[in-house]
Amino acid sequence: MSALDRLIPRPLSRPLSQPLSLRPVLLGAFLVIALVGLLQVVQTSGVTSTGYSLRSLEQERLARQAQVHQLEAEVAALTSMERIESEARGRLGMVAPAEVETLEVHKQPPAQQLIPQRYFPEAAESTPKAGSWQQRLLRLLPFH
Amino acid sequence: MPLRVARVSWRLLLLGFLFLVCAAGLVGRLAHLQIVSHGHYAVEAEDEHLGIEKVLPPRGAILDRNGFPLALTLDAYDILIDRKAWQDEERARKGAEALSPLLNRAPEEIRSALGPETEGDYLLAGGLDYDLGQKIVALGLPGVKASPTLKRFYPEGDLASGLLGFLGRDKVGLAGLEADLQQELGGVPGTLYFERDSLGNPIPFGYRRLEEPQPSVDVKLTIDRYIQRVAEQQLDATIEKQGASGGTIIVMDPNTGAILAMASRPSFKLSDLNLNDEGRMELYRNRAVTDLYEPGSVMKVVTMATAVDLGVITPNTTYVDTGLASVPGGEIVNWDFSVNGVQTMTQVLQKSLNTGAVWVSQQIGPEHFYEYIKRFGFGELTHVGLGGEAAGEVRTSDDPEWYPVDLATNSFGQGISVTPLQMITAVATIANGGQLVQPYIVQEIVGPQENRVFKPVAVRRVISESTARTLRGMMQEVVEGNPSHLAHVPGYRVAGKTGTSYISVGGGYAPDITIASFVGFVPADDPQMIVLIKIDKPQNETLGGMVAAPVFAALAPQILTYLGIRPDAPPMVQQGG
Repeated sequence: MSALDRLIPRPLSRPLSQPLSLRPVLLGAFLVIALVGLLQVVQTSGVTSTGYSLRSLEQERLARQAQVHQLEAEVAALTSMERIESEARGRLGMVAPAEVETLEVHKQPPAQQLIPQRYFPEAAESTPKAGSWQQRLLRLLPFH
Repeated sequence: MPLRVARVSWRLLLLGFLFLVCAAGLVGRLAHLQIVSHGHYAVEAEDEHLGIEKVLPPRGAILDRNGFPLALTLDAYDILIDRKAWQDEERARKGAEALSPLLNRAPEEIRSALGPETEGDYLLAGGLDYDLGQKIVALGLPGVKASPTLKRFYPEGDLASGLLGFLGRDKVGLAGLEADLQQELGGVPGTLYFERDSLGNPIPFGYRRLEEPQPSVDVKLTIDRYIQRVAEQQLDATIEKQGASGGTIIVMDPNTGAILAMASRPSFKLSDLNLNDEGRMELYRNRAVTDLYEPGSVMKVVTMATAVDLGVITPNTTYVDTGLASVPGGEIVNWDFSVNGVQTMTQVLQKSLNTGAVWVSQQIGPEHFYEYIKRFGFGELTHVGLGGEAAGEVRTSDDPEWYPVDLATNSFGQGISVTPLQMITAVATIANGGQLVQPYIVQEIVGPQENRVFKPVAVRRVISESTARTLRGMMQEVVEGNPSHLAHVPGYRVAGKTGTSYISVGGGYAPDITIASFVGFVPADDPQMIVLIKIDKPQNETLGGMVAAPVFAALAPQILTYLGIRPDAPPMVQQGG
């Protein structure tokens, strides 16, 4: 090699910029578009199902409300005077009193009416269930 | 080299010009649609895309004084048929067959009910139970719409129907308390604006705006359901027994004005409403406050109270009953044409002597007499809060149509028209010590944001306590002083007065048609309860003492026992220590 060749830097074996291949670019773009489209579909689908869930929950709320009103009406019907009278007459065989007599008793009632213990219902067991160790742990927390 | 200009063909130019014109037309049309008519089409689009629904708050309940429901609201459905959609024969047939077992109607009946019209919705069934409506919704039948609605449920059946009233098809109160308290019970409907799809369903996460409904409130009445029931039972039994055309019973606390029961006949049944029948319109009014009648001899207690309060008489003041009282314009006789000689004022009440009442009114004078008539509340509204209340008709000496004979007849309750509520309120003044109390029927309003309790209102003092005590004693003598009086209640001292008034017909009075009444309170010395009984046109008996007084005797013991009011008569049995 001449001295001049040593002073002049040897060119690189490969140029700095080389045009990229079209195929990976297209593939990448296609993937991005597909991803965006997929995200859009997923989001729309999620919104729609949430919306239908909301509607379903709203319908359920209305159904529960209607059920509450119906139960209130049933309680009212069960405590109505007509029903009480029909039960009293039909099932219990009661009749209206023919006459009412008023008796005035001038005697003080006993100070304390004692009822024998045997007439009281048995006390229900109050020991809680053991539960899992997680539940036992949760019970220790102050806000549980 | 010279520039050569291409020569353009005229056909091309023409074509270009036509295209230009069409394009200009399109652009112009677009500009018109998008800019000029923007507002119009925006509104149309909004109408198309925006759904509007009225949001009804649940209607408030009506409760009795102890909280037992008298009227409740249930969720329901109205089933409507789209006539246009059912023009399709197959669709209509399938729809009718599917609905038939649920509605318990034959398919042919369902289809024929739609009528010949081809447009619009037809209400096939209104107020269906919620569960049944949901079943119909689940069927998804084309042309069948299930519209959510509300309906009233009455746990006590037809109890207090005239008082409660009813709702119209638009769920607004039409009569009775449902109408009078519409604002409280109905709340204020809200509006829901929402973006909808082509089927009318809301678009999830679309535009949605809710104008919240103002919640309704529950109303607690002063009415006691038990007392109301026994009052209605007694009224029905008496009307049937006496062959009467109707009647009214009012039970009231004389000290507060709280109405414990208010029953009137004829009335309607909540279980059998037919708003299309115009013949039933007259049944919808509350006769206790709308209908006027001449009270008859019950008014004598007012006359006596006036005279005692003015100091012109005492219970033992006497006059001579000749059986006839001459007044300018006529002669007044006793109801039984009796002649009784020297009579005390107490005896005037006991024997219900018209001549005695006339004599007392002459001692009072017209000016004072009508002053007290007004003070007792006659001729003005009681302001009880019930719709259609009448003020009554009172001709005073200041009226040009008043004649001196009116003073005489008014003194024993003829020629003056009052409502049953006015009459019982006036006598309650005597029972409670002389105060005119305002009758009221709403005890409390209970809502999510408010809770209002209504207190008794004393309108004014009418007579002194001493006068009231005196009149109580005289009225007690009317009942207790007559062993055969039919208003006796064992164990209790009753004070009361009967009345038998004739009904005005064509300027005169029909001789055989009466209104029999009785007003009584018990216990006489410390009244806790006052009852007015008014029976219209009884056929079998005609006198107040025979028709109305026994009703008091039958009704009062049940109410007294129920309220736990102790007997004030000497005990039947005493048991010592």
